[in-house]
This record gives sequence, C-alpha cells and structure tokens, in this order.
Amino acid sequence: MTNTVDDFELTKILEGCRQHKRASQQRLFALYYNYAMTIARRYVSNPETTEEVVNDAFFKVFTKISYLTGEQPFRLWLRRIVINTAIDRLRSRLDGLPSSELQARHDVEVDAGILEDLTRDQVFAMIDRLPPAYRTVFNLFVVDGYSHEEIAATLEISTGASKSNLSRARQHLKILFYEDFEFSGKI
Amino acid sequence: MSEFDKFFADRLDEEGQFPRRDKNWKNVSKRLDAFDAGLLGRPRLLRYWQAAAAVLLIGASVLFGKVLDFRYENAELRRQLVELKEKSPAPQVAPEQQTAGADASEMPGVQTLPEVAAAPPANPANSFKRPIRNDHATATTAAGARELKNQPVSGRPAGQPSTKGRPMAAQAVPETGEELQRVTPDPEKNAALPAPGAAISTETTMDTPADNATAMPSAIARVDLIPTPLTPVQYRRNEALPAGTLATPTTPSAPIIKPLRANANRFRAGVTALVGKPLPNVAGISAISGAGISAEMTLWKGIRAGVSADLLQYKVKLDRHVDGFNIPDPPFNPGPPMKEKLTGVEGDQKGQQLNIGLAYTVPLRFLIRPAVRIAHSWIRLPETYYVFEREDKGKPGHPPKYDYFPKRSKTEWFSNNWRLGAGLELDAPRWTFGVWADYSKNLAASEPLFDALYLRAGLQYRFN
Repeated sequence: MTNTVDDFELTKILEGCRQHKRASQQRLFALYYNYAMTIARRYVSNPETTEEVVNDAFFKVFTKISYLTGEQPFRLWLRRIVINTAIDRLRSRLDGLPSSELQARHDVEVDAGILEDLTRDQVFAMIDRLPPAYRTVFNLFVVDGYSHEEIAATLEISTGASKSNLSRARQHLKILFYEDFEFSGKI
Repeated sequence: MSEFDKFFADRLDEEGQFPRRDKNWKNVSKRLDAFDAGLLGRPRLLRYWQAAAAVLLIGASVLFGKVLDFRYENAELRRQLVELKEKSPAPQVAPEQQTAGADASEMPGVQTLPEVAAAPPANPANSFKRPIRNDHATATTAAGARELKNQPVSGRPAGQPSTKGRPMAAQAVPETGEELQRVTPDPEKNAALPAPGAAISTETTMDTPADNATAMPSAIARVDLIPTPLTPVQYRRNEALPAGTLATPTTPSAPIIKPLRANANRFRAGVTALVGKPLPNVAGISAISGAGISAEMTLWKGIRAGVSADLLQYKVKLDRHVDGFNIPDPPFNPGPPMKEKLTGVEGDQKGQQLNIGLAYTVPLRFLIRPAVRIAHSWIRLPETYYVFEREDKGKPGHPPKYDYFPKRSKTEWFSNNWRLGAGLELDAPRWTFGVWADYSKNLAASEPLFDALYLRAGLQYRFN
C-alpha cells in the first residue's frame, strides 16, 4: 500500500468514504495516519493520547465527510479537524498558566546557526516542556498559520491573551534552548 | 516571521513515522461498525417520518389559516346582519304569532332574531360555538328559495329576477316614494305595468314601503348566509323550543335547516410532538424526544376512548453500565478493577409506544378547558448498537489504553406500563390544540424499563 496518491485517486477514495465503504476508509486512514499524528503530536505530548486524538479525528472525518465539499482540499480539512480535536482534548488543561517559572532569562536571543543543529526529536522535546496553553498558541500561530483573532476564537480567550501566550512561549523556548545547550556544553 | 519561528515551523511540520497504525485502524473500524449499524439501518424509516411530519405540519398550517378565515368571515357576516336589521323596519306578524312571539321572548334564555342581530357577540366562545355561516344552509337554500318564489308574501312579480345569493345591502329595496319612482319601469317601455297612482295589487305590482315590512323576513330568508332566518335563535344548546313559542312567523313550506354542529366532537385525530425525561434522572441519558399520531372517539359527553402511537428516541452516553435502559451487558469480562474497567457506554436508542386509554375533558364554558387521561402503553425498543469503551491501565507508570467494543441489544416489548396525564385544551370549531403533561409508570419492576415524565403538544381535527 503506497503512501502517495494523486488527486484522481484521492477523489475516488473520498467518494468511497461517502458511501461508507470500509476499504476506502481504511485506505484513507493509512494514507493520512502519519500526517494526522504529526499534527496531533505537536499539541499532545503523550503518545497514547495522541493516538486517541487521531482516532477521534478520523472517526469525525468518516462520519462527517458529507460536509466536505469539492472546493475544499481534504488535507486542509483534515488538519483543521485534528487540531480542533486535540484542542478539545486539552481544553480543560489550557486554564491556569504558570506565572513564576522560567522568568529569569526572558530577553535572550538565539543564534540561528546553533538552531540548525537541533534535531526534530529535540525540537519536539522542547515543545513538550512548554505549558499546554503556551504550546497550543505557539503551534497555532507559528506552525498552523492561525491569526491571533482565530486563536482567540478557537481557544475562547482574548486576542491580548493570545499575543501574550505567544510571546511567553517564545521566551520559554529560548530559555529551554539555552538550558539544554549549556548543559550539553555546546554554548 | 523570524528565523526562530521559521525554524520551529519547519521542524514541527515535518511528517514523521508513527507506529501502531493497524491497531488504531481496528479501533476506528469498530467504532464505524457501530455508527453504520445505527445510521444505515433506519434512514428510510426516518425519511418517511420526516416527510410525514412535514406534510402534516403544512396541512395543519393551511387548516389553521382556514379556521382564521372562517372566523373572520363569520364576524363580517354578523356585522352585515346587524346593519341590515338596523336599516329594515320591524316585521309585521299575525296577532296570534305576536302573542306567541311575546311568549317566546319572555322565556329565559330565548332570544328573538332582532335581539340576536342587535346584540354584539359578548363571549368570544359563542363565536366558536355558533357560526352563522352554514354550508348545509347554503346547499339547501336553493330549494327553499324555489318554494319561496311561489309565495305572494314577497309581492315580487313572477318575472322579477331572484335576489337569492346577493347581500341585502346590494338589493336596493325601495322604501320611499321617490325611490319607488326611480325603480318603477317606464310605462312606455313596459305597458304591462300600471300607471303611477293607479290601484296596485300586491299580487302583481312592485314593492311599496308598506309591503317591504312584510317582505323583509322572507327576503332575509333568501339570503344564503342566514340559515334559520325565521326561527328564534336559542343560546341554550340541547334544549328543544316548546311548540307555539316562535317569535317570528315561519314559512310553512320552507325546509327546516338544522344549524351546523360546529362543536363536532364525535371523532378526533391529530399529531403530537413530545419531549420527556427519564425518572429518576440519570446523567448520561439524554432527554427523550419524539412525535406521534392519535385518534379518539367520544363515548359519552366529555369522555373519550383513544389510541396513539409515538416514535421516541434518546441518546446514551454513560461512563458506566446502568440497569433499566435496555443496555446490553458489556461484551467482555473486565479483569481486576485496578487494571481494567468500563469507562464508556454510547448508543442512540429509539423506541415506539402504542397507547390505548381514556380521556376526559372537563365541560367548562371557557375557551381553554382542563383534561385528564389514563392509558396503557406497550413499548417496543428495537435492537440498537451500543459501543463500550474499556480502559486498560497497563503496566504501572504507563498511560492507559482504550479499546472499543460494539454490541447489539435485542428487540424487546414491554407492557404493564401506564400513563397518567393532565393537560389544557383549546377548542376551535373543528380543531383542538392541547398541551399535556404525562407521567409514565412502569409497573413491571423486573423489566429493564424506566419511568418518565413527558410534555406533549398536539393538534387534533374533530369530525362527526
């Protein structure tokens, strides 16, 4: 089973999913499983919870696929569903932000050349150490391209809180970055 | 976007490889099995119900509009009748009939026609109960008019066009000498008519003001919209008028036109929408919603026997297994409670209720009247897919895992279920609008069925 598909084949698979054909659904699941897991993994650090988010998201995809119009790219639609499902799962944990930790080096600057040495796993490890509210806003704004207004509407917070969380997320990441590299002796 | 942001965006958006894809697909597939079983088995039935509900709603709206038109038309005709009576002089009646009329007007509860015409409708309920317009009268007035045409009392020549079917206001009955001159045909154009001032025979000549007084009652009788013009209107229902108490003369040959039974209530049939709540309330069992049809027959006065059928549904989303809702047992044997446990039960349960019982409407003279009912219910809960979620805590220090197991419940019939209800009903001439509160009690305690409280709103059409 290949992991690439052209538009024509994707259209056929989606049509099969609309007709509740299990084979088409399985094919779609296999094609986009890693993509959905990548998105969910950014928001949820626990691997098992990440799988639950992805399973829930695909269940929504298969049961709500009649809402997918031909003009809307499936990949973007799936991305939205995975993000919303992850946020729903995290919603109870998005309240109560830490305020006193990691405040000492809030104005540090990071050399872009040193950043290139970070591996993907190291980046994920840093993201996982962010408080859920900061991590969610950072992912939505930096990776998924949401505006502050969209973030505010999605998370039911104010625009100012979204900007504040983003700024603090960046500062946290820079501090974490220096802590890790100082510990490893690279700086 | 800064270099810092761009770096994180690129790294975090790289698509990685993740394990357990097949295992996760099995979990999703099981949930889809349960979903499809609940979805695909009933769309046709659901569509039929939706279509039927839409048709009934449209029909009810149209008929309700007709009721309003009917009432408006009645009010307009009543107003025209009052105007007509104000313009026309009092009818002359024979001495013996005057005596009889006096007797009749002295009877309590009996009103003569002029009194009725002059009296405004004090109670709106009366306008519901005794509409003036009468389809039966309209159908039979033609025969009555044919007989009336041969009677000399009107003074109308045989060749004069009939005024049947036209409002009296448009008939221009001459009342003064000038008007008589205006309506008298030119002698040169019609030599058959006598010259002005000549002796006029009431059998063959035009009306005079004196004749009009006599002609008016029979003229009114020709108006379609007045079913019983020469009989006294009696507000007491179900009470026969004694012989010899007529207040106005009755044309002997005119057919007796019975007033329409506006309060037709021998049979009634209609639709109902309802919401309900299981008792006692269980968190995770949604409100019950549904729709139904009903038919009733009046047995004696306000007592009716009726049957009804309701289609109900409610959602189940529990974090444990509960008895009394026809939920099947979990499809696995949980291990030690510290390791495995049931964490979720989901389903979309539908059901049908067939009810047969008695209802009684308290005969108060108000628009809105209280009603009570008791019914026995047979309840059918069809087979339904339930999905059970199990949490496996796994090894210490590891996050729990979740599995999903679909299981189908069996179709069950339940009897010995009783409904007690009270409500308020509003009667229109042909329709009854009602709201009721029903308490449903399951007397078979061993059966997996719950008690419930329902609120119902319905519309019924009455006919004989």
